Amino acid sequence: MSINRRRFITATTASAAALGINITETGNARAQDPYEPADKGRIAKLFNKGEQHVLPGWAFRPSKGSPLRIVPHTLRPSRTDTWENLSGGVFHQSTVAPFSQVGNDQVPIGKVMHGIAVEWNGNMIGGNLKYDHDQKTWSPANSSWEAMRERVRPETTDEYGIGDLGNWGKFGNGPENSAPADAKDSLVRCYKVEMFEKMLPVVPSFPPTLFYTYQGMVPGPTFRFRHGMPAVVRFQNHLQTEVSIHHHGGHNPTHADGFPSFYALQGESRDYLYPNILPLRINKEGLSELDFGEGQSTTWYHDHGLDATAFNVMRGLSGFALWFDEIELKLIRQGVLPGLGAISSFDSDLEREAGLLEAAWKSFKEVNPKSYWSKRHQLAKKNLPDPEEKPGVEFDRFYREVETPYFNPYDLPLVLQDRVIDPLTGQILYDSDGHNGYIGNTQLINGVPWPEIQVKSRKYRLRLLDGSNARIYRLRFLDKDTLGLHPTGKPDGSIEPNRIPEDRLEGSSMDFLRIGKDSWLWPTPQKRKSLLLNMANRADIIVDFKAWFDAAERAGRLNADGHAEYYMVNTMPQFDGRGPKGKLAEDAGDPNVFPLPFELDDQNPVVRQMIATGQIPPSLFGEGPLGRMRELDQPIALIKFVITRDMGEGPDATIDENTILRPRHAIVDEDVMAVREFIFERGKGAWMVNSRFYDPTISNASAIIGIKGQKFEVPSGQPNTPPTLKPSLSYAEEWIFRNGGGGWWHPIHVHLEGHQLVGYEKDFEADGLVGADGLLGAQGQAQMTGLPDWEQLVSTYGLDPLILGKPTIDPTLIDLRDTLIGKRHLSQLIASQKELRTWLPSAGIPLTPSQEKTLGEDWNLQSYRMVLEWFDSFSPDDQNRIGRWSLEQFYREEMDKEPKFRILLDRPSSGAALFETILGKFGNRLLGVPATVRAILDGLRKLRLQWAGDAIGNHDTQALGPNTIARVRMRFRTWSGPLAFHCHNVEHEDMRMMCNFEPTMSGRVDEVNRHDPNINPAARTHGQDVTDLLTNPSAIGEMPWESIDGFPSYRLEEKPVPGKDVGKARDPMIPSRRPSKTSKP
Amino acid sequence: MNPFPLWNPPETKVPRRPKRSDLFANVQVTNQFGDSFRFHEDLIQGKAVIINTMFTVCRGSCPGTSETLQRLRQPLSKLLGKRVTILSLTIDPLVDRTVELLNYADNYGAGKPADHKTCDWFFLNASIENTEILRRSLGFYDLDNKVDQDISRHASLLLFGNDVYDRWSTSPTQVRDGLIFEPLRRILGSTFEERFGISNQATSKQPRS
Repeated sequence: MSINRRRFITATTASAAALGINITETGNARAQDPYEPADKGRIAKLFNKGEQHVLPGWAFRPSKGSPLRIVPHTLRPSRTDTWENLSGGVFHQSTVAPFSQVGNDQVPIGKVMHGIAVEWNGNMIGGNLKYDHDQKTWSPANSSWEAMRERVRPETTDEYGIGDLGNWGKFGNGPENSAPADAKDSLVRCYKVEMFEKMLPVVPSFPPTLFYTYQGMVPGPTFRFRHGMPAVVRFQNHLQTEVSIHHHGGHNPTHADGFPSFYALQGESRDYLYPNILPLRINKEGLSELDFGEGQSTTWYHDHGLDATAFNVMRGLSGFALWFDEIELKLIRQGVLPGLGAISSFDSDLEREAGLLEAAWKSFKEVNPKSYWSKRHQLAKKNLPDPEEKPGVEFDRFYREVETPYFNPYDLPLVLQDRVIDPLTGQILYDSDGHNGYIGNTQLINGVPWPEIQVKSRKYRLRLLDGSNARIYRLRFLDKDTLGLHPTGKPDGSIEPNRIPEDRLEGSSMDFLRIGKDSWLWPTPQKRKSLLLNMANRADIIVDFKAWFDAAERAGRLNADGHAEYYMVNTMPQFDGRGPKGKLAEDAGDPNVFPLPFELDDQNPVVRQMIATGQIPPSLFGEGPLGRMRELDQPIALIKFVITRDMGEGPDATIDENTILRPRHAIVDEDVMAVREFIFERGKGAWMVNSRFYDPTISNASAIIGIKGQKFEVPSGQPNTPPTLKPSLSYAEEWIFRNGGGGWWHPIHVHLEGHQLVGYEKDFEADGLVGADGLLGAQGQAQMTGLPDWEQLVSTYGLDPLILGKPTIDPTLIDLRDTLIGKRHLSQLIASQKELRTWLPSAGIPLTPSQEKTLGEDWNLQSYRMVLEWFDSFSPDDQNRIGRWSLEQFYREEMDKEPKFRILLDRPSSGAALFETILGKFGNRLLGVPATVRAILDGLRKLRLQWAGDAIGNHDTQALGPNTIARVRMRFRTWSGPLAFHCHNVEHEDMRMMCNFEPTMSGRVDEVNRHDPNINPAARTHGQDVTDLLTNPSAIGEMPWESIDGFPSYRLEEKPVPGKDVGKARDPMIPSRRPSKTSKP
Repeated sequence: MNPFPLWNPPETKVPRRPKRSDLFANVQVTNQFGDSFRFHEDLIQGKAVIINTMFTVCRGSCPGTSETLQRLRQPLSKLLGKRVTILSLTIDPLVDRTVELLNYADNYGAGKPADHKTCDWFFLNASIENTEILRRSLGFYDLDNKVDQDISRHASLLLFGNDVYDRWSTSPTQVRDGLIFEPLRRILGSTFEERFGISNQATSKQPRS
């Protein structure tokens, strides 16, 4: 085509030759265009890499000349000021341009097209409420900043004596910080992040790779947030795609949370306001106090655009956001957590604002007189260029390393992502694998493939994040001799590890301390040898490189330079987006497998007891350690740590297994206000929750099953509408996540709040171990010998034939794993849905048109549920007429033994519970059940989480292994919705495995209202239902609230985003611009 | 012909970036009128398309999907005109020959070539082997081989994209029309008005109400 094309071909030929790829064979087609159809076979091959442990020869070689650094830079705020100065008190009257020094952006906060979180202008219904401390009630508040602060003001300080953190900005008046609170009152940090495409060299020998970037970096720049100190982030979108930035793990109002359809459109900006506040909890005295158990440490941000998340994240849109609060800073300051003590708990910008910089420096100099500190002091004072400065990084937008707030060389955030990179073109290729999930063959750690990191002989904190689309990791640390990377002998120069027998793997793995999961630190550290990391999960760990170095030295394993070498490896056998294989059978129906998405202690006394007494033959669990899935015998190496003998500056961290890290307030049974159940399943080639596809306009968690202590009574006069109740702010709920089967793993992420895991069970029904009728099913039977068939059971033991009766409905058409009572009932009452459709009106129960329509379709779980819910809403007379309650008697008797709130669920949620019920009632008569099977069921049921660290901390993403049920509890606080919860296999999420919830104030137990099951119109995407444009074309889908009070809309035509066109991204309609060259803030 | 006359492919100094559609097979397909195309070259490159799989004797989701597409075709044509093409690929190519496809298409108002205002709707047939290749390259398959081989359990999905902007998305069809139409216009459209329903009025200098 042009000379440039030829040049490119020459270059790629050279690089391909270096990689041992012969590109001349296939003839001219490739020479014309590397993506020509004739070449499709080559591209397709890149997606299928069975031998993932075989790495290219260049792995673990330092990548010179790359502007990517292993630890992403921290973004520098363009302005730090009080809210009053920034906004003039009311944001939409502001004239201050806090981003003026970043690309001459003169637009004040909140005046960009997409504005700022709507909650802040006081017009959002239900979203802006004030807590009246005297009356202990919530009421609508005005929109002032002060009112917003007041809303989350704690009544009391807690045992930490930290003070009034809820009064935002007045942080740091703890005992060890001399700064007076008033001096730094209400400081707000303003950041600007531009999103644009950038070619970045990933593999030195490949052509540069095109990424979607936050500020030109992959991963995006790191935010370092201080709890109690709000931040405004202006995200400016120069990409060709609309985006929505989700702060994963944050506690933010919906418009700053990244709701899937709250876009920042192409060429436009959106101002995200992160209040960075802790939620309140009610203590024993009934007073509200800050919930330090919810103080985040490691969060991340990534794109959450509706049905494009997977592609956008795959293209590079993700980054870290680290948080610091008084508890964590104290641990760092005191040298418990790794760091430079006082230096790593210090933010020079804030001290400068307060005029305390010199004094602070002096005090630190006494603490730590090492060279590091004077270097930092000199740099900051004279503004010298950092000798470590790399080309391609704009240091006026980022902190130089030593200036970084809370700078900590012993704290490494590492995001693990897998990609398919075409060696010929250097470009990332994408294929969702039929919407199962994108799996890559090139492992990127912080955007660098197979990096090598040099570390000192001391304790480090690693914050690991699985940022992959669909890959699940089991991570271990092995020394170089055990791993034994060696050439495969193939002409491409590839390398592979030793074959490590599974029984040796655990013994060869290095110890570490796990201190947290997801955003939150655990109350105490737990010793581990491996960890399992699902998509979007984070693992906070402490690695003692000193101990590892000593071990290597003792074993004579130091390398020629006198360094110890260790590798972080992945041993999870996963070959497609469905999830790990291993002991799972091909169709994942193997009932012997209890796939734990977390670590189970091998010393678990119950398990040991069961093995010792012969209750469980170990062989039933396969070859691997009990409760674990099989691991690869040739691990996939990810990152190489080179440990020098040098200990580095400052004393080593003192953390050990007995350290107390962070309080946690468990949600007990009495706190649970409502129970909801969600089934995550495949349907129609896409992904469903409770048999529905995602709809951004409805609030899914609204249908009520029951509320605390009572069955929900429908107000009279509206008998035929299912009652709804949205989650209530400041109350707790238990949600049951149930895997709908098929062998897929679904990591379920709930926005807004961390949740606590209270149960993780095998779904025996889904496995077929327990049949749909509650007794042993096909799989269970297959394991037993001599068990009589069902008819015989009935006649022999006199079991209720209704329980054992074969359903008269085609079992493929309804979800047989649903309620026992429902199936019994329906199978007796109706032969089909269409019959019901005629039967109900004839029984005097009118149908609404929508109900009639639903019933007119084929049977599905949704209509089935609808029927069940109707029964609850009928008057007792109607119910008697229908005859439900008499049939239900047996079931009710059994369920009354459960805790009260479980009754409200009105269904046994797991096969195990059901099995137990049956066994309890008829156990003596079920003589044919082999003891082994019963022991397994009993044992597994008891294996809750007492020994797993996951039970003691908060999470924001709960993995749901194949055929499992997770029960999580969470409190909903501070912000009303809409907010999303979804599967974090992002391909599943894009294919509609997502739901909304919308906490409100008016749904408390004493004032049960009928809630509109739709998303609050005032909180919707664009102020209106954009999906209504088809029938109502006059409903223009833009957001009226963005020009609220008629303040002038800063359109691009009036206030263009400065800069030049990006030629190759040119678009006449939707301007896409390169962000301006920046100047110093 | 460039269906996006306002958009001129820029001169590039590096090879063009890879596109999602690069993976789509470029096999020979025939529509219900007997016209032959190379799938990738003639129907995908530089175009906006909606793709689904079907077979004419389907008693499951196909009739519903086809009805949905028929309903959406009118507003879509109004919005995007001839710039979008609907492609329905039969996954039962032995049975669904040109005649069968034409008869089927006629049921849904696509029995005659579309007029100048209405977007084309092609029902495509390829050889058995090519159908398999094409279906896999488009992502219309199931990892479970049993499900995959049973055409009555095929996915009822719409794959739609705008190759010019390399924007692709997929939607299940068994949701209300609005939920399909919203991503369709967002992905297929070129302007704010087409994508998000922001009128010219709104994008002008007038403050929006």
